[in-house]
Amino acid sequence: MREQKNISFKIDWLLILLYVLIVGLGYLNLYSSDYQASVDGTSFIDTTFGRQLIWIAASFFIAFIIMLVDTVVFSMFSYVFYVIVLSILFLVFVFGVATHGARSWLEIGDFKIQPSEFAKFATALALSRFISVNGFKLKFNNLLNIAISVGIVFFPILLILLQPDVGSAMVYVAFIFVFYREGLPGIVLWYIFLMTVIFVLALVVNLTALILAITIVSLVFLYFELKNKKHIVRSVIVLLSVFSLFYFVVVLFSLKFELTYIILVSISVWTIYMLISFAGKRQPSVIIVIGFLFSGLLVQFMTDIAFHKILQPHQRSRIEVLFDNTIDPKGIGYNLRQSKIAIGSGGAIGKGFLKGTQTKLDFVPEHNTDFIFCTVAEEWGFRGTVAFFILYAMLLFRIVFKAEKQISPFSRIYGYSVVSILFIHFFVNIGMTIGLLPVIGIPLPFFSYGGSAMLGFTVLLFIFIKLDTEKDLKL
Amino acid sequence: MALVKSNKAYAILIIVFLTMIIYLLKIASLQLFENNYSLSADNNAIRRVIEYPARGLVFDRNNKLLVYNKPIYELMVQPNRLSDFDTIELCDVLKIPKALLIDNLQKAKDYSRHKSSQVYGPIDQESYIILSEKMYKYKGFYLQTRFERIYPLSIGAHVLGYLREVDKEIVDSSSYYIPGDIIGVSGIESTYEQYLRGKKGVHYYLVDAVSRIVGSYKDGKFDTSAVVGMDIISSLDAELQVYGELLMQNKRGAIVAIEPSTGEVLAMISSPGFDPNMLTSTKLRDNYSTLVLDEDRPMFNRAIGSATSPPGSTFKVVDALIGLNEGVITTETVIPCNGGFSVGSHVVGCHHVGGVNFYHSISGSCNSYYCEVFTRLIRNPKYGSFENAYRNWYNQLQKFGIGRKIGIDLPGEYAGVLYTADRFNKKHGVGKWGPFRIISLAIGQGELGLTALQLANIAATVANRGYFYVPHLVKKIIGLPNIDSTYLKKNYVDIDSNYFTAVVEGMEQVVIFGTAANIYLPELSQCGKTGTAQNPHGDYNSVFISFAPKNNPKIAIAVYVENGGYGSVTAAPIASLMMEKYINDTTSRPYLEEYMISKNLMNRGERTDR
Repeated sequence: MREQKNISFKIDWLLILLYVLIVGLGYLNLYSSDYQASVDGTSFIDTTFGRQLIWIAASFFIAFIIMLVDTVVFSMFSYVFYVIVLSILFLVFVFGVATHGARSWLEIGDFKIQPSEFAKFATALALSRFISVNGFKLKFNNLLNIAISVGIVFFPILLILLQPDVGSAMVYVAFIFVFYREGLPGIVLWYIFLMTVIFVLALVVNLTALILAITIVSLVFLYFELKNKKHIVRSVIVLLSVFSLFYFVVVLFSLKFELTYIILVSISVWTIYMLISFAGKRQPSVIIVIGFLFSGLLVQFMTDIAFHKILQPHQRSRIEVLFDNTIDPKGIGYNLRQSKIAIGSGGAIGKGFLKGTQTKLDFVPEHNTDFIFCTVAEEWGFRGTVAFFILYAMLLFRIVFKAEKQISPFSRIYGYSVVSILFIHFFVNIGMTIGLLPVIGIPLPFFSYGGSAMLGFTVLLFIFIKLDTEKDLKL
Repeated sequence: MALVKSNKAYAILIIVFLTMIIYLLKIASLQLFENNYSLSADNNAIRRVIEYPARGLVFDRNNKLLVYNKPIYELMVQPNRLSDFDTIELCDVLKIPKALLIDNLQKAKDYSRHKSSQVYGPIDQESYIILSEKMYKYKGFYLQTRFERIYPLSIGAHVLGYLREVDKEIVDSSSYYIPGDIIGVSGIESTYEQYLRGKKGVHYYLVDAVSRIVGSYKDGKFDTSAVVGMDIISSLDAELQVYGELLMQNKRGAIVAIEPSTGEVLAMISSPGFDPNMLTSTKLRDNYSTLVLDEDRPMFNRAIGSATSPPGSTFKVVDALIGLNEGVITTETVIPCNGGFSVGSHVVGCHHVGGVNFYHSISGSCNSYYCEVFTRLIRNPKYGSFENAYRNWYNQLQKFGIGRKIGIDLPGEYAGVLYTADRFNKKHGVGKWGPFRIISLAIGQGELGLTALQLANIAATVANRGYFYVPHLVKKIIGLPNIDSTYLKKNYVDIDSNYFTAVVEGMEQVVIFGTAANIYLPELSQCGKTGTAQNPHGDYNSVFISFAPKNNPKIAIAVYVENGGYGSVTAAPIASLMMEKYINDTTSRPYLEEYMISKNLMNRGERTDR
């Protein structure tokens, strides 16, 4: 008795309130999105919102169970969970049911379960356990541990990619934030960010222009980093003279040598010059910039090759429509355009509950799963969207605050895992719906229709809420 | 008090925060600043319903109905609105097996879940009435009425044409047609498609959240009503057409009858033919391939689509006119025949004795006479060379509409065969050919091929004494002031009308005591010219061109019958009966009529006599 009361005192009721609010609003939104079905006379239990209600009830029940389980269990059995879930993922690959070309479902009787939704919390637990024991400091003697940490994340990615379900696999990229919090230097995060930008730009802009841009950014960065400005000015002069000379030779003998290669050769000569002149002088920034320059160029060329040679046409077109929505408005671009129309039609104040026409009339495809946000934006307008964002931000911020308060590293790392996973879903799902990211089908937590996702996110969140009740405990 | 103790926690919070700000800015631009997205949404919530107009009717020149529309009923389905229904009851009403219904429903679902498609049709009227009362039970189904073409007289399949569903090519290249629309693909239905089809109407309805129509959009401000297709009065004479098709049964060939004073086609028969009702709506699917694969090619319009044989002696009419016009002969010219025209060792056979005069050359169809005329034409010193003389001759023939498309208002017209001088240069070598090399042309054989339409046009030109109107099948489009102006102007062949008078005399003698004296009927005052063309596949082809009466002609006609023998044997009697029927409205020679109708030439592909 005493202990029970104690727990209820320690529970973060604000987090639970946020959860109930988001789930409740998500349900109403789903109801509205598929309202048509009830009008058509489909029996309640056959509608998406009928089914979702069962899943929500199941989620509440499981959340309650989690609150009763001893905290130590999560830490102690984390590897066991991990192994079990990975085995199931493997089974899915072998026995799974294919939908939309991916084998990601396991059929048990009448129920279909998507194990990749449960792999998220299992991976989070295993990773928290491992890092909390071994740490994540970037040191030479810690390399093996770092490799294992990355491996824990990489295994489920591999299995999910085999299904293949690129969207679900991408979610695991979120763990980079966990690594960052636990010791990965900020510069690496920046580096990854910049490479992503180069990756995206390589898809859009002309190669030569991008090479020039990368070079110029590198030089400007170097200019501010180096104390001796003469050096950098001199090196630029070297770069330009090599380029001009080379260019002159090519033109003079009318050689068939592309401009791109002339620039690349000039950059290589410049690099050798820099390495010689800074040899022995401790200047890490020079190495960093040169590293950036070359890996940037590499990413750029790889992207170009990957995009045109490796990517399948339908995958390529998903990326292409992002940059030009006049391409094929009724085909690939159709989803995106309809989604934007639905959002745009919401205006400032929205059309009101059950009044949205775009999503209900099936103009927006996948309107109850991946594009569920359209209904929010259409029926509640910009006002409602801001409220929705605030609610979501409160949830994420609250978890970060709570994670920071944990004394046990295990709980803290797990908390960051939860935030990272929820955030990446939000980031990718909404980004796709509003046309800022390619169309990648992943659910919006607590809003999209789907039992596995509902249960998976609930378990993910409530394990943290449970851990938080005993934040003083050293796990 | 710091909420978090790590700088990295701040960094992560900032990333979350910035992402949300960027997303909100984008959403703000979609929702608050970009107008076109909310306008498109308007369109989405408005349902566009297309109203199909009735297609125009086609009448004959005496306002007899040739083509009209009959409603047919179809059961349609919109799969996403389906709910459970009594399959067995529905099948009972439709009188179809359950498997068929389920199969068709699956096809509809495979096509689209949101768009409607046909489940079953046509439904007979009785089922339609029963079903319309029960429709409330079948959610997602609805009944639709469409129209199918009916040809009450079952005539003129080649002239009237048929309809079919538009294919992807047409949909892609046109802004008017959408999949499922119907278009005319041959005959008048095709040529006058844009008048017959009318104009589709569009109605905009507001649709509520559950996709029900709640009213018209902006009080119908943007609605357009369908415009009924224009009716067409065709130039055909239904009775003559019926009679012609009867006469041509069991024969291969064609008849074209033209009113010379207007160029209106009174009858156009291509045999073997088919009943146009075979290709209406769903019957098209069943019969199309049968007709296309038939060895006798019943869908092919022989009257304009081919010059299956040379014109034979009918061509002498043109020879005579050009000869007179070029001055190489006069109506006084007498040319010795002596049973043939020798070209080296080759003799163009003939059967006259002694000298043949101009009129007799036509009425007796003298080969020698026209070989001489042709030789004189090509040797005419006025042109300096054979080649130039031939070019002149070629140009003159083109004026008659020979060797080119005349321009009738039907698709699939064939230009016929007429070699240019260059083509002969290529064939024989420059300067290596002269009148003898191509002497067959003189008697309408050799490198020459005319369609029945071109033959009829020659008859009409002679009837008019020097000009013709481009033959056409449409007399009036109701609602338009005029038909196309090309059909309203005289085309002169640039030959003096006096020469025509002489040729007409000769053609009259053909019928009175010449090669076609067997069909002489004094009150008709008919003028004609027989032709007999060699056919590599069996008996001669029988050809006849004619017009009547001699003064103020009412009808000009060309008949050709494959394997029909001499011109006077088959083609001339048929032409004569047709003309009598048209002019006198009745026929006076039941024995001849009976004989011609019962004559079967379909199996005369291999030569039996001679």
